[in-house]
Amino acid sequence: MKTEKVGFIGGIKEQFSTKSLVLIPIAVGINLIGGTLASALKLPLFLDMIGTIISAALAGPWVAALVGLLTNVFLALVSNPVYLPYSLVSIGCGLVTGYMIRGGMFKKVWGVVLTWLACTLLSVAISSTITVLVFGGATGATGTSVFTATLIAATKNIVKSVVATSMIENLVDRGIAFLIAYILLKRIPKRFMSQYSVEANFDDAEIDD
Amino acid sequence: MAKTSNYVPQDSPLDRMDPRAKIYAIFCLGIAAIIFPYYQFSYLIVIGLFIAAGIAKLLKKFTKFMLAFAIPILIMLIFIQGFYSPKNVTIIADCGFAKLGLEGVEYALKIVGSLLVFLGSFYLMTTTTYTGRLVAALVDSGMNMKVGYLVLACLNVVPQMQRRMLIIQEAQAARGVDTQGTFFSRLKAYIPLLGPVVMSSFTDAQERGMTLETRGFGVKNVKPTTFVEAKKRTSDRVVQILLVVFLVATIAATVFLKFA
Repeated sequence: MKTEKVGFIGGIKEQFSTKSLVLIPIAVGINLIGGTLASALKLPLFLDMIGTIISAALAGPWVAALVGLLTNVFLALVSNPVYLPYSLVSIGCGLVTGYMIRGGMFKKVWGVVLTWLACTLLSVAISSTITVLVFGGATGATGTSVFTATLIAATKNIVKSVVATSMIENLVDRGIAFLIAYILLKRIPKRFMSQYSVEANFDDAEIDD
Repeated sequence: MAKTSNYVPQDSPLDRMDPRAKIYAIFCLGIAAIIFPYYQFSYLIVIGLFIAAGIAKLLKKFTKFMLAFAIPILIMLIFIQGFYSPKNVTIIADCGFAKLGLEGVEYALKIVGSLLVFLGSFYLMTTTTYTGRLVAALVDSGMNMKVGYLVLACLNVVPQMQRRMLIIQEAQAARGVDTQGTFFSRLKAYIPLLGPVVMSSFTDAQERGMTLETRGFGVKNVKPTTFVEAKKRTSDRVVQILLVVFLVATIAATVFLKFA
């Protein structure tokens, strides 16, 4: 691959062409719209990662990391600054997803499942650390915080309860997000895919329309 | 119309202040609140923030925001830390199912205090700063122009996509897509609603890319000019220096309290 010859930093820079640059706000938009749509349909999920996954597949891991960061910055600016520390989760997820797609994980369904699990584990680790260290266990009176409090009352262990809550929350949420992003990626026209730095990662035979 | 910023245009000293001075304020006050050993200190800073909000003529909005954040998290944390923190030694109340410990409650108060300082000052910054000016100020202090573009582009693109979303929602409803009912039928409605938005946004991205290139966005070795100007005044510099002095004094006081 061409990117390996220019070194690590050069490879990162190569991901940020003007084409990828205009993709970033769109991907942030998809993240946010995905979230609003989920609450409009009264789904008990966030689904705010779809744009990050799509940008990871199209433009690479570092673009996806930036998409994750900007999504959280935007949420912090517009709705609630609580989202700001959690940008680390989004950055980590963008990187992991991006590098796993680079490794050809999105060619097969089991690869997608593997990426989903890796991403879930990473977000559980980072988000629990933030919840415990920055917020002391809860971020407010949301459903998940109440659930955490119930678990703490039952198990008498703050860290274990936070990890358990975030595990359940992330496993379902990320799973559905990956499924939707995968379905959407399959439908993006090849003509459009070819202009980004990541070469075709998908089997043409599976595209049905 | 979609909301893209907390900014409330108002003529006040805080509004006129340079955005960089406000960023200094967030960090200096926040770090001071975290490192100082007594939690009461951070609440003094919060009172100071309320005074600042009063000067910025945003007291009502600010109070609403602070209470909406502080009360739920305070209750949750006092419950979690107060009853179940492993550090609890001194018991101040017995509620039958668990004992309320003094150390946990103090820890909860300390966390909420520091968070309130950070969130409150951040909120004050976003409500008193026009985002275009914030980005111009950051680009002026050396931030990459492309990053500046990204932040502003996000603010522009998102409401546009929200409008498109509404149109597609109505169109799909006219076709008869079921958006009610069980969890799975609602989940099934998600893809026909999101898909068209994503696809049409990609075409949009392509057009944006071409438009930017024809206007010389990728041109190198030229200093670009900005439409929104960001200049530091003397008073902004004084505020910045005072904030740093405040932080240094807090650090000194903390060290003195720890070792004396």
